[in-house]
Amino acid sequence: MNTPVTDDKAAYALSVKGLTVKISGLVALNDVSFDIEPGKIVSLIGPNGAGKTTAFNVISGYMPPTAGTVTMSGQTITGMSPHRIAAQGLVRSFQRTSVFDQSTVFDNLLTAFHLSGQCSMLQSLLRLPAFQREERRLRQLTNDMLDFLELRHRASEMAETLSYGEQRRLGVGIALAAQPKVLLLDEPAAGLNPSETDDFKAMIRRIGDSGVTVLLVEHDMHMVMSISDYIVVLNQGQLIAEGLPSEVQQNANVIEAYLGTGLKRAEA
Amino acid sequence: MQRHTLFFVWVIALALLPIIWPDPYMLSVLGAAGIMIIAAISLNLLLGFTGQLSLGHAAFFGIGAYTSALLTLGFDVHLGFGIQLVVEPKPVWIAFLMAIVVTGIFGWGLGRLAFRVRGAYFVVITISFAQVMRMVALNWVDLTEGPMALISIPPLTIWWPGEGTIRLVSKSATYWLVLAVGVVAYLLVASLVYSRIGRAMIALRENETLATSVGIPVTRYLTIAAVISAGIAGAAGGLYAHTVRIIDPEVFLFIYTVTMVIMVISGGKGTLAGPVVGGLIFGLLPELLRGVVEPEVQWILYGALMVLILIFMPKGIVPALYSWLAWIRSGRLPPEKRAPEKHHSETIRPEERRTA
Repeated sequence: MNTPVTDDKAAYALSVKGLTVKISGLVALNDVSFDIEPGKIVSLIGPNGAGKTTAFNVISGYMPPTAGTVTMSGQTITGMSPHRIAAQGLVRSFQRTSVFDQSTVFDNLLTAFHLSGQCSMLQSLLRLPAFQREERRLRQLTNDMLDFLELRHRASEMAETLSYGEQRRLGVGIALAAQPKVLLLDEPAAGLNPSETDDFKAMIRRIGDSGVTVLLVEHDMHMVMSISDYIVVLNQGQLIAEGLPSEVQQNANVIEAYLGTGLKRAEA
Repeated sequence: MQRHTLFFVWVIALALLPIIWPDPYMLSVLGAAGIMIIAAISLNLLLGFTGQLSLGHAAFFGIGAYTSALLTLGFDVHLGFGIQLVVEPKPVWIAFLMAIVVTGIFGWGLGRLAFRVRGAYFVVITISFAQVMRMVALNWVDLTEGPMALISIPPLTIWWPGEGTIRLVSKSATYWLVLAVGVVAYLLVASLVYSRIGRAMIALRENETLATSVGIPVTRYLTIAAVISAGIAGAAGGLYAHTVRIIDPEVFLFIYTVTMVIMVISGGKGTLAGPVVGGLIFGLLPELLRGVVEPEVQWILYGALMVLILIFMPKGIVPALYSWLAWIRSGRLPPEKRAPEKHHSETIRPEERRTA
């Protein structure tokens, strides 16, 4: 940015301040604040019901917060609709419904490159040269993405016929097609087998290396500890710890939060 | 390219029909079916591509018919508060185009509404909308003549070299007029669907949440679809008004919407050719069966046909034909060149996905 940084939040790719969500009396998130530096892979962890998905929904605009703000490089995005937040460069993937089932893999990605086109309706209807050029460019982008996802051989298959692991990859590809600066991944490795998880980890690292800031919700602790630059821990809507993976592993609050649930399970 | 060639061959063949086989009865039947097909094409844009079921589509058809007819005839009504609205008769083509614009505006309203209410509520509101329009047409006698109907509606005209201005009243002229408007409507929907705009509409049908997450403003694209859909239905209504040349409030009847829905669903919703195929079948069948079986038996036959189509071709005739063609092609290829089998074992059933 050329303008002098007046707000210190502008240095952060994503900054969450005092985020509170109350759903009919229940406090899902309570005054949560954290900052993410650009280009980092950050994991958001915590036991079930900690408020991770709620945090994702609020950050990506699918749920309004009761209080607090979310800023991207200093610009406030709270209150914007999801598609405008995506256009600002913050894109999320979903835990379950992650692909357009009844379209081919190619069309899934071509559709997802929506923000990369800007032809007007008139140009499209009259098939003007600008439209033809744009279609060629979007198709090229789609082919490149198929290569990145290693899904080229499945391009003309219906998305619903893909294996679970392939669908998850496609889901990430759809999010990447929106050219995010910040990518939110909601449990991308859930339900994958160990070798698929390794592939996935390598892919997230490649995404991170390409300069995209990644915020990850994940339960697989091996994956979290090996891939994250930074970790934020939530428990019952509260931020209880944040820091480097090694610091978080030693944190007394974190151990209690996780072991606490473990003990209860053991007694039950 | 192949698809384009096939399309033009069809259009030329249909255009030559009145010359090769100038049977006035058949041409008038095809003309009437063609108008319903245009209406079905418009409904397909909304129902097949954006996935919104509008059961008030006859309202757009009727609004188009009444607007075009009233503007060509001119009218003079008191709106209350001492306001009097006087409209002089307009040239027919101007009225026809204005009818498309007016229906487009109503479509815009419907598109905005679809964002506040979805699913069943949207369906109920569209039905009510058509009913309200029918009540207006029945009871605002000063404007619409009510059940006495609007009569003596002038036909559309065309200037032809050497002939001067021709009134399009003959059976073949009507047929060509309907065909021309139908081709424009078809091409409009086709070029819309095969573009970034169309992909956004399909994304809205497939998974709205995911569509918004990649930056697709679904409100905007649903509104565009509703405006264009309503505009085409309005054009079909205008054609009806100027070819039948008499309209009464019956054009708003629910049965017309149902006919359009049947044409779209049996032909294959979400396919370009679907409404045309479905429209030809359900538009021509009544005429083919006339005199062969009793009218009461005819109704039973349509019902049975509809049920059979949906049982054996749940996605409609056109998708069924496509998969049938693909099956024949793959059957003729040597085994090693055959398309790879679908990985059924790898396909995750919805319930497994939920637990994952």
